[in-house]
Amino acid sequence: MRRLLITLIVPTVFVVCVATGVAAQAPQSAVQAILARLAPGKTLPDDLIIAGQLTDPSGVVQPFRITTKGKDQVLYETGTGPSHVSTTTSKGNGWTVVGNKFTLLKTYTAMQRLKILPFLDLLAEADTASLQVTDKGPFLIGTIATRLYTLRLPDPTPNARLIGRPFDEQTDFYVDPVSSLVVRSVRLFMAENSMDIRTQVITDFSDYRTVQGFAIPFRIVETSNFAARKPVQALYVIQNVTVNSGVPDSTFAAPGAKK
Amino acid sequence: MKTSVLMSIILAAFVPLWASAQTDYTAPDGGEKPLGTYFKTDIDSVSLTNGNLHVSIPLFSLAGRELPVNVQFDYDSQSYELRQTFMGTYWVHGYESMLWRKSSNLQQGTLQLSQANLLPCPPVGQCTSTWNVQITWAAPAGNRHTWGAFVTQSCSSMSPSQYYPYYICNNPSPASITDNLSLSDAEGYGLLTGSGGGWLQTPKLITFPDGSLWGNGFLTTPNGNQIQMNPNTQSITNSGTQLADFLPAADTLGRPISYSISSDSSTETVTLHDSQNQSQVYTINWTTVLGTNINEPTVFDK
Repeated sequence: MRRLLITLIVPTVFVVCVATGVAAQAPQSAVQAILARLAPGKTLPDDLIIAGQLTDPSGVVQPFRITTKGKDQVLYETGTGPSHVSTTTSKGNGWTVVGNKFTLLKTYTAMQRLKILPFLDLLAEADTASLQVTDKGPFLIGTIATRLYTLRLPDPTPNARLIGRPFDEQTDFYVDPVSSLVVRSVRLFMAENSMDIRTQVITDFSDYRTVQGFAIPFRIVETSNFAARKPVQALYVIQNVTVNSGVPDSTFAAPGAKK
Repeated sequence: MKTSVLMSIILAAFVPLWASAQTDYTAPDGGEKPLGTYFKTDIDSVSLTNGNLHVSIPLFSLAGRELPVNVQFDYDSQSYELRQTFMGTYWVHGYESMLWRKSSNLQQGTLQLSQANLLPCPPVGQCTSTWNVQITWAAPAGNRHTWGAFVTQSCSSMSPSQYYPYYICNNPSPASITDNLSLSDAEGYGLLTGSGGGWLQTPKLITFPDGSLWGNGFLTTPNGNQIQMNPNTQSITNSGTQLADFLPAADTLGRPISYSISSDSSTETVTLHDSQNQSQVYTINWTTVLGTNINEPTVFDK
């Protein structure tokens, strides 16, 4: 009985009591407050560079650097020298460059947001009128009592899509109601060569530090679940953050268009 | 202004006919082709071209007016696909098995459009492009038929698109490069397309060497006998790809062929009535079928 009390009832009561703090707000307002906590004044950085070490799912440790500008321009870089790989997503287009090899990404892949910084994920649309927010109540993640918000942004131009399937976006955010920091996000990603196949990606954020007012998680664990297979994990450890250094638009131009 | 985005056309590289999604299907030729070379026994054959092992296990054959309903359980050893998901700094890879599937007269397979723009248009002004249109049908039992054509499309003007390096073709003529095609391959299989709305929306018909017609959910013989697919009979792989392995709702004598699938898609049940009006029940339990839930080591790279 004592074990039942400790393992089940106490955490449940704790979750309900603590998480109701955020629940008092309307879901849309709560999400706006979360964005304000992560990005001061809900103002996103003009540009941002994060760098550190990536341990990919195969266990290889290598340096990474991610450069962003606005909400829809991201340059991902890993490795150095001959093993340098860069992938750019820019205003709905995307491509990967490995050495001299240039590979275009599908539109729905290129439209992915940067998921390892919550304020640049779907939370960045907190003030967008068409954003649908659902408060799904308290959830316990490990020992943290969180509150789950599901954010859904319908595709503004569904009729323009190639096969008539809208690119609606949806992400679950698990938020610590005490700190208003995002503890976990969960979303589905379509496979590059099949829109039918969705990989669930769970991103766990920790070691938050404040850099020029922005709450940045310095440790990020991504767990990917592809169909029925064993989940795989990647670990980002951020070591350096640069905010608003004046990254030029040409950083995100395709190789042939760069001056 | 009626516009067409060239980017969209290029990205239409692989559009299945029946499945609503954009899915690549690149496995080698499966099944058996009429003029193929095989090492063959009663139920299986090995392609001497690509090494594919094809096994066909008959489940039932329901005789009807001219057109019997045949259902087999088919296997093709090379019918699996590499699926990759972009994670930003790395990719997650996994293999999707389509090795085993049920197979009937109405197994649709997939019809894919792939083409290249031979004469890219400049970013402004009037433009005429010639497209090399290639359409491939992964036919019942897994074999392929490919049709090709050069199609000229003109644009009254071009406009810059926000999607570098693509441009917008204004007032394209024809509206879609797949409108009103009438193509035939070396084995006598034909493809006919209608018009309106682009590749996905336009009606598409496949003609067989014996004069039969397959399209709009019907298989029609030259004598007019028809069986119609039941769209609810389609299987889906454990990764989510629709296999387009349809069964008919009834045979040509009007005898119903009822079908059900469990909520987790693991068990399919087909019930039919024989000539004595006795019901016969066939059940496929996919959880017992090797290869439908493969869990081979996953590979990761950039």
